[in-house]
Parts: sequence; structure tokens; C-alpha cells
Amino acid sequence: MMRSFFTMLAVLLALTTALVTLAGLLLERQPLLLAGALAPWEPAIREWSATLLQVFSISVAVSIIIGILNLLLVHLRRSGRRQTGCGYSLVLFLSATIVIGLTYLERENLLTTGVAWRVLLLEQVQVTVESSLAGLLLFGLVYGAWRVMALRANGWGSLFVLTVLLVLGAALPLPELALLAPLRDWLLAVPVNAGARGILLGIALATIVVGARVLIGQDRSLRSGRDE
Amino acid sequence: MPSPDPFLTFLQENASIVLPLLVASGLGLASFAVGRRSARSLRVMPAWRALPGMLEQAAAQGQPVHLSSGGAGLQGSDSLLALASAEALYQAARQAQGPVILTTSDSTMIPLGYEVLRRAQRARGFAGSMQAGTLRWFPDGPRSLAWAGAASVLMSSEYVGANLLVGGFGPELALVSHAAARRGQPLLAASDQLDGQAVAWASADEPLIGEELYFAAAWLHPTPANQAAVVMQDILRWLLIAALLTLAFLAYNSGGAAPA
Repeated sequence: MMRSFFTMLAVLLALTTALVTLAGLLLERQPLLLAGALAPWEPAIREWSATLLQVFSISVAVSIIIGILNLLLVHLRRSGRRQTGCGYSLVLFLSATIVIGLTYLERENLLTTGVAWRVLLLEQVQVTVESSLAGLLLFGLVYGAWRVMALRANGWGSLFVLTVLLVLGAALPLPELALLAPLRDWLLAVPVNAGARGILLGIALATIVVGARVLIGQDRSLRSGRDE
Repeated sequence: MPSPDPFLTFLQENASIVLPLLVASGLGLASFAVGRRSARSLRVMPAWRALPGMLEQAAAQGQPVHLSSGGAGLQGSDSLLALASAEALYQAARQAQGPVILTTSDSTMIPLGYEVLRRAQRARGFAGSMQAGTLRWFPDGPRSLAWAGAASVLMSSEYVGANLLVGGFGPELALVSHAAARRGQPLLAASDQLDGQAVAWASADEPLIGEELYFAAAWLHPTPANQAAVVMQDILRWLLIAALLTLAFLAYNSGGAAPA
């Protein structure tokens, strides 16, 4: 009984929020068209629409704090246990704590060594580590191409690998491979472009359907436990 | 020159608002029309068909299942992707018989992720609080190499039995799929980004392409409401194809220039 009440409340809240935001958007885009229909409520809708956006911004900020706490707590707990990977967790926890501490000390002007430790750590450690990981991506992608043939040794798999080889080959600065350049250009301009647009159109249509489901309360997060 | 129809101008200027409203009405009608239609009447989706087997295998080996939404989050244009991703992850978590680990690189996904896990736990009949470390946030948003590095380590240290990665991923997915392949862990992946989708197609055990990631519920939990979404999507797709062909035909007849 209590759960049904809260579910109803959540649905009502979500639908009201969605409709108020939608009305706010319509008022912004078509102020004259809707002036008659929504005139009595216009100031209230505009005010509520702006307030909802502010609440959303605050929620995003709070979620970052929750994220940092989640990160620290999970890895502190893991580093206390003697299990595989606990060393990584300890390093992560210590690094995060040190960076947070240094940032606080720098902001409060309590650390006056002349070195911007926070920037140093970001540029010398974080950027370097991420760059090396990005370098490893190449091997991951090559391995992926090999894996296509291992998983799908059929016409489509062969076409995929052949296309990858052709595009990579045409990019090489070798005069012997210059013949491949027009074929690569055609590939990128016609089939690749068409395929990419097809995928993006499919995603766009699916996004519209998901949005509409939220709007009419059909989304699972708005339904009661009986649907689970 | 005749003045443009005000109704058409209104539709053109507000397509992003009017279209979802029309689709919402269509969805309501489709739900009634679908009724008790069988799940078998939907088109075959090998990845969603393979998922229950993967989850069962992981449970049989006593290994956890790794679920991830990547950089999808509840802000900007990614919000609906995050909801769709949460739905797919919920369906997987609900069917998994063993422990589940959910990772994300967007902080706004944390509350939604907890909700997904809590509901899935309740649907599986488990009472009580969730185990610590079930949800993990690895910063920092889209194309997060930090997430890719941490997820690769997690897949090894937690002895993961299966991976379902649906959401926002870029080429960093290659690192994770490489780690999964090295350890012989099955992987299903799909992304709304083209580069991530290409990597997912190449490295996943079963391909999931484009909009297929949005309708996990229709295959894994086929209720009329869930199936109506797929029916509506199919109707929209055919309408779009018809519109494109009509425009191409008109362009051909008018000597090559596409009509405005």
C-alpha cells in the first residue's frame, strides 16, 4: 500500500516536472502561439522551469560528491582486505587523498613551496598515464580486427578486415599504394557515410521513443514493483 | 511566392517537441494493439538471446557479472541513453543469479545505478542491504581511459564471469574487450558513439548495433508496454525510409536538386 503510494507520487512528480519543462520550452520558442493558452500560468511556468533546471544543476554537483565518496570508500575497504588487486586500491585511495589534501592546502594558501603540486600531479602523472593508455589502444584495435576473424570468419568479417586494411594501406605515404587512395575516398564518402548515418538515425529514433515513454510514464523507473 | 503554411512552419520549428508527443500517443496506441503478442514475433536479436546463457554460465562458475554504462549520464543529450542503458543493465542484473558489479564513469549515473541494483535485488527476492563495492565510479566521463584501465583491472581481480557494456563508449572499449578476450570472459557491448560501436562490433561475442541497445526490455522482459516501444520504433523507421525514398524520387524527377 505504502509502496504504491510512493510509486504514484514518483510518477506524478516525474510527469509534472516533464510537462512543466516542456511547457517552459514551448513558451520560450513560441511565446506568441501559446500566449493565449498558457497566459494565466506563464510567469509560474517560467519560474518553475528555471527552478527545476537549478535543482538539476545542484543534483549533478551532489552526485560528484557522492561519486568521490563512493570511490574512496570502495577502495579503502578493498585495500584493507588481502585479495587480488588490493595494492591498486591502496594506491588509488592514497593518490586521491593526497590530491584532495594538496588542493585544499593550495586553495587555503597553506602550502607555499612555489610549486603548483596539483597541476604538477595532473600534468606529470595523470596525463602521462592516460597518454600511455591511449598508445595501448592501437594494440587493442589491431587485436580487435584479428578477433573479428576469430569470432566471425564469414563474408561480413572478411569485408570488415579488408576495409580496415584498405583504409590503413591508403593512408601510408608509399607511391605504390597511391592507387588505393580514390577507392578509400569513395569508401569513406559513400558506404561508410551511409552506414554511419543509418546507425545515427536508428539511435535518434530510439531516443525519441525512450523520451516519449518517460513522458507518458511507461518507463520502468516510473512503474510499480509489480512490473519487475 | 506563396507564404509558407503557419502549421508546417510550427511543426518544422518545434519538431524536437512535437515528435516525442506524437510518438507518445503512438506508444499508447501500440501498447493496446500489441496486447498479449508473443516475444517471438519480434525480430531476432542474437545478443539479447545469448545474454541469459552468459549470465547462467557466470553463475554456475560462481563468478560475478560486470555491467557498465560507460560515459552515459543523466545530463545533456545523454540522458535518454542513460535511461535505456539502465534498463538493459537492470534486466541483466535481474536475470543474473550471482553477484553483480556495476561500473560507470559518469557521476550522475550513481544514483540511477544504485536504483537499478536495488530493484534487481528486490526482483530476485533478496532482502537487506546491498554488498559494498557493487557499484563503482571511475572518473572522468565520456572516452574515459581511467574507466577503461580500472575496469580492465577489475575484470581480472574480481574474476568476472561475463561482461555487459551498454551505454556511451569510445575507442577505449578496445582496452576492456582486449582484457575480456585475454581472460576468456564473454562480452556483449554496444555504444551510441560510432567509434565505440565499431570496436564493440569487432570485439563482442554477439553484435548489438545502434538502436538495439535501447530495447533490451522488449527481448528480456516482453510485456506489452516494452514490445510497443519496438513496434513504434519499427513504424518510425519505415516512415523514415519512405520519406527518404520519396525525397530521393522527387529529387531525381526535379533534375537532381533535393526538395527543401
